[in-house]
Amino acid sequence: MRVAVFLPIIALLAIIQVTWSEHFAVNAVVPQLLLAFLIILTLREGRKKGLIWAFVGGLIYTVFSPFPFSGDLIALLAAIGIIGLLGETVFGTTSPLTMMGQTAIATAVFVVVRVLLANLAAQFWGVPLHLSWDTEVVYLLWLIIYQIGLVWLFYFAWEWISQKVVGWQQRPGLKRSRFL
Amino acid sequence: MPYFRSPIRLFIVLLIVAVAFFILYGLGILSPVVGAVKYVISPVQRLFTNSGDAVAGWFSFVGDIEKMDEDNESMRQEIDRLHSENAKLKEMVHENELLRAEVGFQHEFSYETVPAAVISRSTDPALKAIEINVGARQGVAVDMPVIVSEGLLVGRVVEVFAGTSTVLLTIDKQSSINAVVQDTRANGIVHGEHGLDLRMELIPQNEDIQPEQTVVTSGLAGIYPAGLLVGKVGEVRESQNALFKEARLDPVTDFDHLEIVFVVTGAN
Repeated sequence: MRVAVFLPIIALLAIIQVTWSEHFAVNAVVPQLLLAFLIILTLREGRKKGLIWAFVGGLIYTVFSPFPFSGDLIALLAAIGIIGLLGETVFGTTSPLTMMGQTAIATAVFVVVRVLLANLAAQFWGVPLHLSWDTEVVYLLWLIIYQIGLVWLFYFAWEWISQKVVGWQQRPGLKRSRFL
Repeated sequence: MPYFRSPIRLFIVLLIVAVAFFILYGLGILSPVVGAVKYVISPVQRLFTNSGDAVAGWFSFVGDIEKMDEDNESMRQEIDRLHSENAKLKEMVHENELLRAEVGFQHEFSYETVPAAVISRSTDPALKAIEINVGARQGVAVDMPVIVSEGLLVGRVVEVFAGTSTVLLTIDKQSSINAVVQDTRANGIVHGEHGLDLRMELIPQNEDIQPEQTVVTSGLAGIYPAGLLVGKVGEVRESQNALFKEARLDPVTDFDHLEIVFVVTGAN
């Protein structure tokens, strides 16, 4: 059931990311919709599910994206892997504050890994699609703020839809959210 | 599988697979597969790109209604000016044709192009690239210039698959174009500036350049043919101590709403 819901959403977000998302840009900063969704999915469903869906989503996204193949997949996996680990060891219960921290860390990891991979691909394989640190750092703060807003919004929507409409509960073993 | 009960193990395995994909792609082993998949999904991407632009266009139309009167007035003035300029240019073309005929000069300023639809865009602020739905099958090769109608330069091809290609836009920081100010013939190098506009560097201090002057490709370095429109001078930045001056250029194309472009595959 969840696969039938998550897969189309992830595929849709991946294609929207490379086609429509520029229209949602604020101050030239384009939101990372798929990353935001995967953060919430990890918080709701747990670290293992988060990793598997990050792999699936990353694979779909990297096929659509003009970025060197698998670069986005690695960046998404790294971001979700790290927040999954921190979520269960450092942050614990999901609260607005911990969610803010996890989103900020995931966004920073995602951006840094992408810059590293782009420059690596440019250096070794001559793919001239490298990213510059100065531009990325300037935009990173704005992107983090944007992502936090997006994650909060999506999280509230998810909680409401999954509990009130679909009747889903969080996976056993995960600590309850303080939101609702 | 019991082995994957540990999330750490799962993470490591998935990461190794992803890194293996990245390396195999970099070595060119996965490129045919990736190219084939991109070719198959390109119509879906195109559908999304077009519908997104249509929806965004409608919203911006609604938001800009108040500004329309002002814009209409300035457009009317621009049309009058262009009519007058067009008339002068027609005279010059006629005169030029006569002169060419007189000296037997047979030169056609035209290019062979392949039309292409934009199927996806990079959403990274530091990487301005698009994907188009033509590739090696249509004769596209790396370093071919990409223009929109009327010879406005938008970028160059940096990666080619069987049925799709990646284009680095001129506003990307890594883009570098040998250009010349059309009126003064001042040479310089044009780079993208944070993916928003363009910067012309290495302009000799003694050159007098002014805002609104047109900048075109110079034809040097071999990638871009001469005469493609790059942008208009927006602001000139000078420093007494510097060897060269630089200028901010305003692009003449809306890079956020590119739909159809043309790959220059050769000269006629």
